[in-house]
Amino acid sequence: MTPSEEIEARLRETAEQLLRDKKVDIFLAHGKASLPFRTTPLFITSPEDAERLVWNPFCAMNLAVYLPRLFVRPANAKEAENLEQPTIGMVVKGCEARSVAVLIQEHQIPRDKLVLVGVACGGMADRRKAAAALDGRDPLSVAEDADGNLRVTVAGDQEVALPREDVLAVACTECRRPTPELVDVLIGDGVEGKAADLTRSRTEQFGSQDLDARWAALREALGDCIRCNACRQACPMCYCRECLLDQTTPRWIGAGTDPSDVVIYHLVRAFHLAGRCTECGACTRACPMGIDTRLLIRKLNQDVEDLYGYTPGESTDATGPLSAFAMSDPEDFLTEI
Amino acid sequence: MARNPYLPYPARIEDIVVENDERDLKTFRLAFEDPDDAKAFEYMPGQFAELSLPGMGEAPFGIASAPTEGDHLLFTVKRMGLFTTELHGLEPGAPLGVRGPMGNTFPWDRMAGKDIVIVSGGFAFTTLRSAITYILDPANRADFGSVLVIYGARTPGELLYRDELAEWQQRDDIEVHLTVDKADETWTQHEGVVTFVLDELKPSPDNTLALVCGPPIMIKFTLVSLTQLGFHEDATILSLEMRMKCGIGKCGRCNIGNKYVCTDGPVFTREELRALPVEY
Amino acid sequence: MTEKTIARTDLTTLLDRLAEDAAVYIPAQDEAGEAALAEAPLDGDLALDYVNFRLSPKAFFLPQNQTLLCFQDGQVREPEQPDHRKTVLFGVRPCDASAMLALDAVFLEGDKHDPYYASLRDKTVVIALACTHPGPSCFCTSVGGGPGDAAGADVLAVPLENDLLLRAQSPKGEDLLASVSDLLADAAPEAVTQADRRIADAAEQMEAVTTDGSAQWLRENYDADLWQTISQACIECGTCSYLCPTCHCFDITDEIRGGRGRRVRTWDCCAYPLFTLHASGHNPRPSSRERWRQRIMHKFRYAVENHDRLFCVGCGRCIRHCPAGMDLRNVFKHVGA
Repeated sequence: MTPSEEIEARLRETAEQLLRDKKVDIFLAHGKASLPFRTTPLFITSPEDAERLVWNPFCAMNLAVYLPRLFVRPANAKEAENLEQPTIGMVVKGCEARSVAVLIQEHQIPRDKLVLVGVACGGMADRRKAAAALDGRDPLSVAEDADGNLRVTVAGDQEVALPREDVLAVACTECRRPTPELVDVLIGDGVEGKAADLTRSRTEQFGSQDLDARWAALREALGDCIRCNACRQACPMCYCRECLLDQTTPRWIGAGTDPSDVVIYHLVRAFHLAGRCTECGACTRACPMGIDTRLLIRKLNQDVEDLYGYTPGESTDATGPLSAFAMSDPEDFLTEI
Repeated sequence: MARNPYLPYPARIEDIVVENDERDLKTFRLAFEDPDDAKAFEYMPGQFAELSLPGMGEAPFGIASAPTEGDHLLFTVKRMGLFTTELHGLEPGAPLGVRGPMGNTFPWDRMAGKDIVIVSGGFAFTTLRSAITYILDPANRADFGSVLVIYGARTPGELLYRDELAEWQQRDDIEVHLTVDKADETWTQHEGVVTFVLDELKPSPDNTLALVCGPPIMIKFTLVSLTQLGFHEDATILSLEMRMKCGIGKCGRCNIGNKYVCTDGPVFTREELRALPVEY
Repeated sequence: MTEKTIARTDLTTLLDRLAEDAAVYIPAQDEAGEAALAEAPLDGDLALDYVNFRLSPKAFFLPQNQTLLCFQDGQVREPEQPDHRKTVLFGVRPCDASAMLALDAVFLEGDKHDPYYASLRDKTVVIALACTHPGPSCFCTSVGGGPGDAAGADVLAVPLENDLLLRAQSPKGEDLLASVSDLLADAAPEAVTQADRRIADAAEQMEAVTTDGSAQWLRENYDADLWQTISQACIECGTCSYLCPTCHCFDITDEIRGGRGRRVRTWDCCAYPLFTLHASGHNPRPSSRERWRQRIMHKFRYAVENHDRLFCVGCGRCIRHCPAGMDLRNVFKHVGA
């Protein structure tokens, strides 16, 4: 059995048991999709369906994005008293567990109604990197070998070997905490994260350019944006019922691809995610144009870490630094008036 | 070359009448800047138009005037959102654009020779003012049978077109029953929802068409009453509202099933609606 | 119907000639290495082995943002007509070409002819390129199309071993071929046979999906439980609609600053929660169940009822790009079941 197959077997057992014992009403996991290099989320409600659950290097989606809609939001305190919430079980990777933690911390979902089954994650494959490595040949099927590397079958029954590191999603190449914390069950041996320096180096490289170069780089990176909002919709942290950038009273930005509107959309999103983003890369993965929407958010997250010593998702009790004020908060970046 | 359907006709506000005590319902009388545009704007009661304010966008409103009243147009607008608040803030003389006429009309071909029952509530009465004015015009009156109007509002101060209602009540070629949910000391007419009055009056369904416009809850109970009175589904005519943008069946927003409310509607018979999914 | 051939090596000469008085768009690679139609320099041989472009060509007729009216100092005017120069699109796949007929049905027919769409359509000549190697998410043959079925295109080009067969399909196509007749040879019967065979071979490679009777099935199953389960994974990101060659829903908004501004139409998506939200707060499609159902109903039932054609051409972009791995072909597993 490959490592993934072992984890898959244990996950299926765990999910089946939880459903059979009625410890959860729904188990949220990944299932087989119709194309290779992808999975599709499963909302399993009966123990017999647990066998549809899969675990492989393509379980990249951040399932936490579905949590707010699976719980009922009470309209007021009175309603909240008698509310019957479902209990949701779900499989979580490192980044996902942190997303769940932030949602709990921000009072969007109840911890006591969650059963979190963590899996130590070896990193997820990025289908676009794989496509590039395959020279544009469409993958017909893909399998994992015992070392976690990929064997892809392309047209003409040819097989191509793809080392996992070559096709890891960018977010995974920088992941410092692939082993989920704050979970109820942990499957798989702990996986070591990447060094903090590595994670820093990309944003530092970006930040080391002069202002004009950074501005040009940002505008170029966002040049292909078609304002579809996929980055926002895929993000578990973007759960606002009405996004500021969709508001009409007042209308902050236009709906088209005017460069100033595009930049403001991404800048505002980045600022609203500073100190909240768990760097799962769902945004970049969802973007149909292949834009690295995570770049700027990563930089702001790094700034919050440096200025306030805070990393999102490590505890469900913490208050985000941008939601609170401490006397010890650094002030040297404030100008004197 | 056909006119650009996205380009509004330039018009200006000639007069504004505040319709209700709460002062959030106003009737705007508009005049076209170009008399040729006025001639091109041929409409029949039931249709709507999109009013346009540069920078504020557009919104669809039923046309409250009848084509028999001349070249000006009347729209009664409730202040609810961005566009309507801006519109309410304008003074006579202010310019605005009119795009239309849009949508289908009340079924005038079928209505000819029939008795007409009109049941309406609240500020949905606008296109029915257009219909009634059209019917009562001397050139048209003989084409229709009896006309019974049941119109209700929450309070007397919320009734639209009160002067005209009073005039109509003086006539002998139309029967107008007004009702309010909550009367005040001066109110001497019916008290209760429009369906109470409808159930009391029991209009006959024979050779009769019913036009129903109002809030969803009123429509729901009125349809029950009409069914009990024996009105067929294709003799019951409704006018629907949906969120709209282009108004010409292209932007895909206002569909109910395979029908676009802006082009196949807003007027539908109950029979037509029954064939559509309940998605409104 | 004129049928000619041209040597593959002469293709760039032909396109160069057309570029003398038209903007010519050819298959190229965008920055992420995916195929795209671009006004690229005509040097070297064109690579014709892409499956399809990331973005559909609908942007040439219905741009992501399009100015409808200009406002200035109280005046409301139509915009100045932009560049009237002809545009030639080379390499549009047959599925995308037939999608144009769906858009024509919406924008050109009916009593409100859309002048913005019409003028872009009029000035554009489309040369479709038949497919010889469909991708795993292609299913044009299941929706009334085919790898050589380019109704909607002005010329159909079919790649042969050393040549391209060029078949005029419209008066514009005839004119185009006539304008470069010195570069073309009359098509020999063997060329036509080879073309037909290649197209038939390509058709065989696609997995069929049953869509026969889908309009009727959808009528009968409007309230089926299926819609709840099949829509659960949708994160309402808009990717499917934005990339779809037949999706045409748009928003109209005003942008104004001081006395100057514009009324602009932008792409919109029926999957967005705000799409049908009334000012009163009422939403006829309150959850992803109703919204996803609307998408399927529109394409496979209402379009058939109103325009006698499916508004899906089987290009597979929605399947390839959906971040949640959704596949609308799954709906049809239930049709006829």
